[in-house]
Amino acid sequence: MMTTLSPLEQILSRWQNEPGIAANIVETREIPAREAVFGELFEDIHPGLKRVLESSGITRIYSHQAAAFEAASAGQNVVMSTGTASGKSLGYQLPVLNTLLNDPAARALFLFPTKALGNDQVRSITALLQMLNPISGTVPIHAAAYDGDTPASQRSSIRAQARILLTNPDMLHIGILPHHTNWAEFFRSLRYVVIDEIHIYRGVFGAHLANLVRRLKRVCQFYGAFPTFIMTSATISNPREHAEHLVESPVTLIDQDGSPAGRRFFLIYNPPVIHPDLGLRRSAAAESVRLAQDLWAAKMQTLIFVRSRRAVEILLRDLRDKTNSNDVQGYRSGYLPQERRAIEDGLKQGEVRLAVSTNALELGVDIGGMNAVILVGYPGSIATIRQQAGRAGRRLGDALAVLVASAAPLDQYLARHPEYVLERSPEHALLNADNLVILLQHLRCAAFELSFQEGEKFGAVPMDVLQGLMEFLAADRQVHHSNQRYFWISDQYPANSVSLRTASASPFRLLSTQDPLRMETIGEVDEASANWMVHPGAVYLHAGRSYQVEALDFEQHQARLRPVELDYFTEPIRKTTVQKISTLKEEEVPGGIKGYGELLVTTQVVGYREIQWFTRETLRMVDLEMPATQLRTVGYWVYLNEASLEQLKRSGFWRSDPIQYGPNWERQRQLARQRDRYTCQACGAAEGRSPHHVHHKTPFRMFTSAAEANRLENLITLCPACHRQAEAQVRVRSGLAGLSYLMRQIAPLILMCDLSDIETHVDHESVFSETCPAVVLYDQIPDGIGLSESAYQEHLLLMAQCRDQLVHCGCPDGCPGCVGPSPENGFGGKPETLAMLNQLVPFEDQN
Amino acid sequence: MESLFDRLKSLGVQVGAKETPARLPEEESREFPIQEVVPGEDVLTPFGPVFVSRKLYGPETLQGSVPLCEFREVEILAEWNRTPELKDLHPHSYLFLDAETSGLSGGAGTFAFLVGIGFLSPQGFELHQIFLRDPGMEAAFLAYIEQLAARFKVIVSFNGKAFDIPLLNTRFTLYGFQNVFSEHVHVDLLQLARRLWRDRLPSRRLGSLENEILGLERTAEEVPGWMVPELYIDYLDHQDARPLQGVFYHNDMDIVSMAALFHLCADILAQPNSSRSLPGLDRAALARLYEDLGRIPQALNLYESALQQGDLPPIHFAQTLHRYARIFKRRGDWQTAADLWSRAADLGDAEACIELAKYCEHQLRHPGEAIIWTQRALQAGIPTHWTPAQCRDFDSEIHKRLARLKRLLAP
Repeated sequence: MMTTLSPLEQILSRWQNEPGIAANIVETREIPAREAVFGELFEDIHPGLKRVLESSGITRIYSHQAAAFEAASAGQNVVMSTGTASGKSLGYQLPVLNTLLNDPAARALFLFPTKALGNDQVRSITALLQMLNPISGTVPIHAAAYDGDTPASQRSSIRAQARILLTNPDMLHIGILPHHTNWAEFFRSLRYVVIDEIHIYRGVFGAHLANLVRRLKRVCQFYGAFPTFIMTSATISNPREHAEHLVESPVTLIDQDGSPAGRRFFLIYNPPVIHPDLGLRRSAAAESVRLAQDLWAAKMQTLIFVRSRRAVEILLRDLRDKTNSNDVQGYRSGYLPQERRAIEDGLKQGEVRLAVSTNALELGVDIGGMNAVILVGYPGSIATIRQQAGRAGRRLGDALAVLVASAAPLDQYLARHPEYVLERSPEHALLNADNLVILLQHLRCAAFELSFQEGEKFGAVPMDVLQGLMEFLAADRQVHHSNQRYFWISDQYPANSVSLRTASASPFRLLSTQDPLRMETIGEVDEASANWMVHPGAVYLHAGRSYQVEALDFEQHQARLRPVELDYFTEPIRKTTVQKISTLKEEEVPGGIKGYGELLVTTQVVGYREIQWFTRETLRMVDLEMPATQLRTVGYWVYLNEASLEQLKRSGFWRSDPIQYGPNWERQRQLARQRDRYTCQACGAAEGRSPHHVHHKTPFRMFTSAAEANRLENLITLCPACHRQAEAQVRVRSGLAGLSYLMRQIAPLILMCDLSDIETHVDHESVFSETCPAVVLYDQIPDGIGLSESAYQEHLLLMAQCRDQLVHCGCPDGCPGCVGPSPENGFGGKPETLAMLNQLVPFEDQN
Repeated sequence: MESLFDRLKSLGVQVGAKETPARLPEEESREFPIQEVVPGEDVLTPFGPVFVSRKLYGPETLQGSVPLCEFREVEILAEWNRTPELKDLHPHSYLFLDAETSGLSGGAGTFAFLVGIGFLSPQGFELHQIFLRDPGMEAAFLAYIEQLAARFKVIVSFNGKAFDIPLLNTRFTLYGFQNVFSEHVHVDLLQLARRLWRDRLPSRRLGSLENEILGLERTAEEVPGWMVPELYIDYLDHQDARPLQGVFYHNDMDIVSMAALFHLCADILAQPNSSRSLPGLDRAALARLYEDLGRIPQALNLYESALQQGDLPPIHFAQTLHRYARIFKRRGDWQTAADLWSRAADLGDAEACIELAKYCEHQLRHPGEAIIWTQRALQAGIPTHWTPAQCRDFDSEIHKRLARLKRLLAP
């Protein structure tokens, strides 16, 4: 008997039958529909609130909303970690409104990571209040946004009247806390602080936010208030831990999602390989367009998430050409608010059938559920995948989410491990509130806000550190120590020099010299990146245009750039050395030793390459004399122990295919042996019955021609034993380079960070061990932010994931998807890296 | 073991932007407490002692040419300040206040360390300068100010509405005091000075008003305002109060000049047509102020005398004519208004030309004349004092008007 297929199933079945598509679908997962689980409406909910809910058709609330209501009403800090569109907003609105109704003095503060999100929530809560206020029978509740866009004329009335204040961390930091005396009434009666989307507050932003919470609590305490925190998070593996790091108090976790959902399909689509050696695949964007066209034609409302604003425009143009329809729209920051409203409404009403968006649509904004969502490439974290995919879903009927993988290692890794996307996310949101640099910045702000009592606490900062930092500020004449207190005395406004979204607060401005009289600022780069992104001669790409850097001015903190049309781009050549300052932890692990400690990383840009756009050919190399920059940070290192190393050297199993050494090899080999008087140049042994080996000092594969490689200067005679040693040395280096590349690519998955937050380095100077060079992974932020420490803890998981990636990469000898393109040490390095990982990953975990 | 300081430095934290001034070796150990440098004494409050320097200016004192202790008529000033109750309050209930602070940024981390309070008494003009010897003694400092301020009903300040009073209120909140200044009538002389001298003086800062209006120069003791925070931090470092003498002088002068300026402004407002030789620009400013208060007969007098005096720069002359004419227009006295506009139009005032065009079109019903005036407005060009929004529409408005007028003329 035939069952009728739903429209979505029809598309899926068509895809399954089309070889050009079916072969690329590496995973199809059906997530069955889920029934709603309701909780009881709390007994003593205010009758007015109950009536408003009922009149909006809400007679029962979901179990997680009820649980949040109960816990928050009892004064427990709460974090709700449930899916997209599960009604988290109502989950915090209910307990807050209920308290505000019962206590006419009570106030609440809502923090959203962006202004746009705050504005969206103002609209939603105002709509609720318009129903509630007339019938509540008590003092009307006024909600207002307070951010950089709030007109000065409205500010004092908002301060006086708003009982729910919606703002963002930046405004709290720079505009509210430093002026807390203007908000005395507000803080005195502050009962709830809502922090939405806490998974965004990780790394540097997280460290800033945790310190901001410390300052907020301190000011509240001054006014005698101890607010309850209600937080929401996307699904990450450690929501409670993360929330507790953020507010430094116990937090109740609510993660049983009671909201209903229709049936969903999740597809992982891996574009086909078109160039195996280079690891090149067909572009994820082009494949996404192809899938989107089918969905559009079948009248499935579809949302495509891309990673950049530019990509929005490119895909939009492509899709409009192909569909020839104006129900295809783009959505990103930079569009005018009214345009965005119109597109949101169009999506809600179904008039917009296909939309291409950046993550601007990922958070909060109410657009209703889509039939389908396509993610073009890994969006940077699994939490984000889930949040974006969560946009697909209707209470009734099927929905589809497709992740289209790019060629990047992490995309490829996830293409093989759908369970990470679908079941157990390995992601830990991390923050280190005690990063000294960030902590010091906020201590300045805190001292500005209220003088510090000797012995007073600041969150969980150890007392001796706090004391030391206060003395530092006193020596720097920013605070004055007397009468057992530290008083802010500087004429600065410290919040002005702290940007919550970066670690260092003095970015370089990029000025276009197109009009030398009125140089226009086209962008900024942070201080740490200026050296290698905008060194003199660098080609810098911005908003689709290319510029060449004329000068980099360290005094003025600016770079001057000239718009140019060039057929090449530049790549800086960096020389990095890593010194170890201290070892904080060290432990034996399978095959080797792992360590964690403080490092001093010195980086110098010594030149750059000009590389042609299309051929990727190096046109020339330019030397530069740039000042070295130092980064003091923390890092995690790993190296092989002697036993593993010996085993590697003895075993031949990492040997790659024999190399063809070219037509003149036999002759050159004879000449080299003759020159070296048939003696091993390492141990001095003379040739016996069989001839000694001839070794390439710089590996053969580093050269473009055999004649070049076989020059006598590059050859040396070695006895077989010494040759093995020498070869092993080269191979160890090659393997380490591959491992280093792989670790950097894979670690962001566990650490939930951006690729640029960490860096890896192979320690050829033997700073970490004399037996074997180590691979070091370090935080790219002064004093570190917890990334490498977490990598140290997750060492085995990281090694296993690296090995898995390597084993399953289809390339013959290294590609950008595994050990990286042609490592500097010559060999592709794939077998060497694998041999090392076989030592470092316990046998039972090798699958 | 590495010190925290070194660690912070190696993390890239900037240290010590400003070095403290070097001191001579023999001075290293020597402290100069405030009482050795400034006459005054510790006064005990419930929160501990606070240093106060008191001073009396005798009843005959002049600041510049202004007698400090004469009572003035303040009816118009009270009206302008929108605090009519001011005129019934005795001059002995005024206090003149100025604060020297640790910075200008505002917010909870900016504090006052020297507050000067002057007031009139039967003995003359008294000045109390309350000094914060150490940030740890702020409660006593504030308690003294609170107690003294409570005796008065009026605050006179210079920019106090935006700066001094909110700043002190913040300090009172931080130390748990009630809002001390909530009941006072507040006259902010900066706002009045802007009203009166915006067109005539390049700067309305107290220092330049002192030069220009009171005819005073400060002595070499004066320290510029921007140096004040730094001097206090130096003092906290070295406990050497000597450089603060200049700050006390600066604060003293600010208060006394403020009092003199108050008297002078009250006089000018009370008797704008007195024999004093007021510049035409001042008269024009006063005329506008009177007009805004709805005192039209005096305003007309002032406009008339400002125009007759003959010292108004051309732009201001035209503008004043224009304002003057507007009063007649509002009253329906079109003829007088038109005469004034013609005078302004002769000086190249585009607005007056447009007014005349309107007058010809709507009152005289003479589109031909109106076209001529409109074209003259176009020739005159955009008035220099217009806002960008007005400028944007200038051409299109004029061309619209021309087009309409030409339609009217067409047979």
